[in-house]
Amino acid sequence: MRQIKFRVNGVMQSIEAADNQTLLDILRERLHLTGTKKGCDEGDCGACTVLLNKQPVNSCLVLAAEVDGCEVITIEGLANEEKNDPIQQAFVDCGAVQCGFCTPGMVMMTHALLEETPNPSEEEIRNFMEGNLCRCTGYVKIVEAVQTAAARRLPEGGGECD
Amino acid sequence: MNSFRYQKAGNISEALKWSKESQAYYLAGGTDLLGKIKTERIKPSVLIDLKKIPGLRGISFYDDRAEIGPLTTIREIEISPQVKERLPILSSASGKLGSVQVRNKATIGGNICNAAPSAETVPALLCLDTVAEIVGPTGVRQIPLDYFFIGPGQTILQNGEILRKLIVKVPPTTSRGIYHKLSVRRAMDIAFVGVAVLLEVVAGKIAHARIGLGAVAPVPMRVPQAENLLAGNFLSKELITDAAYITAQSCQPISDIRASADYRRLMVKSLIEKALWQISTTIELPGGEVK
Ligand SMILES: Cc1cc2nc3c(=O)[nH]c(=O)nc-3n(C[C@H](O)[C@H](O)[C@H](O)COP(=O)(O)OP(=O)(O)OC[C@H]3O[C@@H](n4cnc5c(N)ncnc54)[C@H](O)[C@@H]3O)c2cc1C
Ligand code: FES
Ligand code: FES
Repeated sequence: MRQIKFRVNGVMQSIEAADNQTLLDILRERLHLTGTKKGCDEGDCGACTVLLNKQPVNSCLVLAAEVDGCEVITIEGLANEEKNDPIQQAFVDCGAVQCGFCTPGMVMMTHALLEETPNPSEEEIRNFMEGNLCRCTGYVKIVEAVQTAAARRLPEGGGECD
Repeated sequence: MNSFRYQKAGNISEALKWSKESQAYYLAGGTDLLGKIKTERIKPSVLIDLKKIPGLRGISFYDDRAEIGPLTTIREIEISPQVKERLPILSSASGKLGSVQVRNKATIGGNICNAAPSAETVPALLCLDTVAEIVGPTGVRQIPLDYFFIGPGQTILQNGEILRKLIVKVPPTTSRGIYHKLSVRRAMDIAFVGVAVLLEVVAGKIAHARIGLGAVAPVPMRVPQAENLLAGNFLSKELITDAAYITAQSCQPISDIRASADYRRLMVKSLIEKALWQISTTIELPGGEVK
């Protein structure tokens, strides 16, 4: 076991973890941040996506020991109890959520995408999110949600779903 | 996951010392390694993290070469404006590996040292005459990447040697490079054929040619016979057909769940043709376009 200090959603955490534990497992089981989902546990599905030092990564492919001194943002870090994050709201408004299992990962990726490309084309959205699988929606509504979230963030506003 | 210890090396000599333990593995991004540990294909006693060793990460450009630290992530290489401008074939190949999330963690050194026949960045690196600088208990050596691989998952690294630098030739601005990847699913799947072509064209004539292939032999390979055929000539329809034919003849594909050997060979031929035709449309030929 080792002591790991890292910042999660803005709060310093110091927890004990085994050397073979993943970031995904300590987020869910030690910090009870269960918004981050475990789908495949091997990098294929994107359900476990978090931001590590602002960059999206698969938390199932990160060791807890590797994040000592780092900053992690999970889906819980975007919203608060009373109010959805605007990206979450766009997913709700566009009907981009069915079972919801992929949604936290999709929302984290949308966040990362819009930080670097504020007004992405459909192709840019599909390329950026190709590591996030959804078994329910067929992706059409998800692309719409990302476009809607992008439009609402632009200074001129707008962006409603069909 | 099976249990193992995790140790962060602060410098090369520490890493080399720790690597003497049986079943010690170096850890870069861990995107290959953690999958292998979870599925129990390997059982490490200790993972030696190389990420905090100073000087192993980053890209520097000099006149005619670039030096790339092996711990540089694939995503850093993909989006670097300088790599896009001066090594576009490497930027393009990097952008085809896994997903954004995987590329943020995966490193170029890990892609090479994992030594998959399909390793995404390697055909492009072979076209760029890459030299691998290796450090081990007995000192430093430099090896052309062409001689780095000895079989699927096997490299010339021994006694805990570490890949510490990649020296890449920056081609002149008159060069054109293309990387084509074929995979069963476009995203998130490894290549069953990878084809990289780099031509330097002077006054319409090919001054220098490189062809690198992935996933169609036990190791990523170059195709000197086709390169020699191309060099010194003008691109013509006949030359394109011949170069593609020779390339397809010199690869040694296998059949597996992703594709049959015959299909792979056929695709090598058509992707080489496609790449050469694409390049021909971007260069000025004395007699107009290739007929
Ligand atoms: C979902 C998913 C999709 C993927 N898609 C692709 C794809 O499309 N194309 C592709 O090519 N790969 C793909 N991969 C494989 C993998 O991401 C790449 O090969 C990656 O570049 C490996 O780098 P890494 O830093 O994660 O390596 P690690 O897993 O850390 O290391 C790999 C091996 O190299 C050794 N090693 C690493 N660095 C050094 C060094 N400097 N010196 C000596 N030894 C070293 C390690 O000991 C280990 O044996 C995919 C992986 C996943 C999980
Ligand atoms: S659980 Fe991590 S990518 Fe599927
Ligand atoms: S909504 Fe069910 S997996 Fe995407």
